[in-house]
Amino acid sequence: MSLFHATAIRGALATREGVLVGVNLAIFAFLSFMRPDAFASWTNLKAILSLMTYDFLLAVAMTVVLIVRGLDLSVGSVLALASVVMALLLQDGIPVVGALAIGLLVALTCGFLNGMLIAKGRILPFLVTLGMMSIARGLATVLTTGQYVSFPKAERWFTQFGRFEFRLQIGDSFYGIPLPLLIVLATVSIFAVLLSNWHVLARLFYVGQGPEAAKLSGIKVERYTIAAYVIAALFVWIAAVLMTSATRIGYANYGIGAEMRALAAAIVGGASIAGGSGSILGTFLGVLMLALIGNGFILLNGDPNWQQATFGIVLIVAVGFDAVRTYKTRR
Amino acid sequence: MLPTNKTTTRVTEKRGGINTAYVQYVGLFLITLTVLIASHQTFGNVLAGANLEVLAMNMVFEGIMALGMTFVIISGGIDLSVAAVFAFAEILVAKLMIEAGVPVAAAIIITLGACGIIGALNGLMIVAFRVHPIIITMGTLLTLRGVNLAITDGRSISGFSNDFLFLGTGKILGMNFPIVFFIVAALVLGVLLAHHSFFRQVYVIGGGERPARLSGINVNRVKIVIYTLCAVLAGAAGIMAAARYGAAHWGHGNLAELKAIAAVAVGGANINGGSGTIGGTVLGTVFLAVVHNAFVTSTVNPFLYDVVNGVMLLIAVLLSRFIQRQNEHAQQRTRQAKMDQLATSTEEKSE
Repeated sequence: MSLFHATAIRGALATREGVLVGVNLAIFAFLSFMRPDAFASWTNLKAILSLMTYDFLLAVAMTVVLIVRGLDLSVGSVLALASVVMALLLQDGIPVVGALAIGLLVALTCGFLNGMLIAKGRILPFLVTLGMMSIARGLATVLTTGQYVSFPKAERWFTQFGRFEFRLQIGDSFYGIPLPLLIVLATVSIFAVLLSNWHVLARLFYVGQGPEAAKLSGIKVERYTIAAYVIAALFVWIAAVLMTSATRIGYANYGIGAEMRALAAAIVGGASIAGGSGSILGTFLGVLMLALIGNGFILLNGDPNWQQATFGIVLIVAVGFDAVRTYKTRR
Repeated sequence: MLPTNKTTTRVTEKRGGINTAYVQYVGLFLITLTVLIASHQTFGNVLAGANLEVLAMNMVFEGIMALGMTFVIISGGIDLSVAAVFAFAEILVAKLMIEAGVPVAAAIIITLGACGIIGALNGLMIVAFRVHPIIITMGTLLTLRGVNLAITDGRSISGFSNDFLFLGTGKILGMNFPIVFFIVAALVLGVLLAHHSFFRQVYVIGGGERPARLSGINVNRVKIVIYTLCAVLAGAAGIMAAARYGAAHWGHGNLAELKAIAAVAVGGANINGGSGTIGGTVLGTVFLAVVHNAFVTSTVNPFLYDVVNGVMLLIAVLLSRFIQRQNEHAQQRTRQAKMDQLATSTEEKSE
């Protein structure tokens, strides 16, 4: 290996995304080696990718609020509330577009309230979104009395598109690529590009790095904080639409514990609770890593019960890794 | 945060510092009493002995966790892992007694020790990694909950001896053992927090870590001690809960951390650290228990309880935030008045 390659690889490994790509590849290689037939099949990979779409959207939502030094524990329950509201409206025969719009309104209202209470009320994000988590979940349960809500009267395209797959022929074999996955990747990619290139969204980072400094340099900090929570709610709504469409039911228990997974993935991906950092690519790699580990547990020892424990351990290891790194650079 | 509101300037200057805290406690107490009497008037039998027992037992485990949480929150931290420690203690004590045949007393001591180690680990990691306690304790929460699920395979463990069951259902002076434990623990910890020099340091740390360090406080040691204390209390609650329910299950105590935090927040502690008392936490716990009971006895849709719980948490925090701000204004004004006085006196001297 030439010297140039060595330094290039070392340079890539110096970034968090580089490390995460490496870890993901290592897990991937390990699983393909251990279970070549079961793991490396397109069916399994597709299952991993489709299952992680929802977690990915929620983790992106979490990343956005983490950037402005916030936290959103209500992502999972707002997902449930939006899903339930849309399902109930569809059940009553309201056209899909109208139902989706009202669902969007509900989600954005939750996000706006979060943002208002945090920015204007100056309450800790942790407490505000904890309250919202309880309220949204409670409302979803009250609306449905805990039952599944199906909507047989809804237009067919809505119940189809969540499970629609493009069939791609490579050689003799067919690969089904789920439409929701493409939608999510497209939406989030556009957002990621905007976040790093559009000066308006870049201000979110300034707000997170130092609200006082941002305020002094003329950024309307409160408005940007509220905007971050509304953007987060938008991603939660997309997840709710996809989930409702794919499962064809609205359910008040959707997304229980999802906020913890989303937070863990975002932190592993480089976001910090101290604000001002976080990248969409890092979050994606974090979500992918958790999904691969989860899948690996099921394939390797058949005991998915240990899966949750590993999420916690991965989170702690990631945080410890960061601590060691900052300690080294400080010296 | 400049005093833009004209009405706040009318508040008398004496109303600063500790007075507002008492105003809050009395207010919370009166509201609790009102809810209690109102629900008794409307639904009847709320104040009957049997119902009061149910009312107290509903929140007592969260209350015990909230006692430990008070220390952590005053120090400016948070401990999300208590619920998982709670379930872990249930499972460990059950496994030790039923599957390993360890005697009751030894099983309890081992369990409390194990919980203490978990708490100390929390504290150590928070100190060593210098990451916000939310992240570390969430990691512990996820890990431990996963461990709980995995070591029990999701099944519950039951078949306790009668000696052990006393810890959950036995009565001392006509009160259930957990309630007695809660009262004794609240008294002891309340006195320690208010008067013992070691625990007074928690307030200094919560007020600002750097000044605390500079004034010679061993911040790391205090933090490790309070996270250990918090976990041991959660473990004790778990042991009693196992005796109360007659079974250990990994799902027990789910979301209990949020109720414990809510109790502390409603009790007037500043969630940013620096203030709070055990008395306030006890009041907060009683308040949440009374409201929960009012919901259960009423014919209102019980699912609404979550909604009301969330709204209550937000209102309580907004209120304490409002009082805190008034406090700051009052302090600012007294400081300003002193400065003015000083300025005028020096002016007079120079003239």
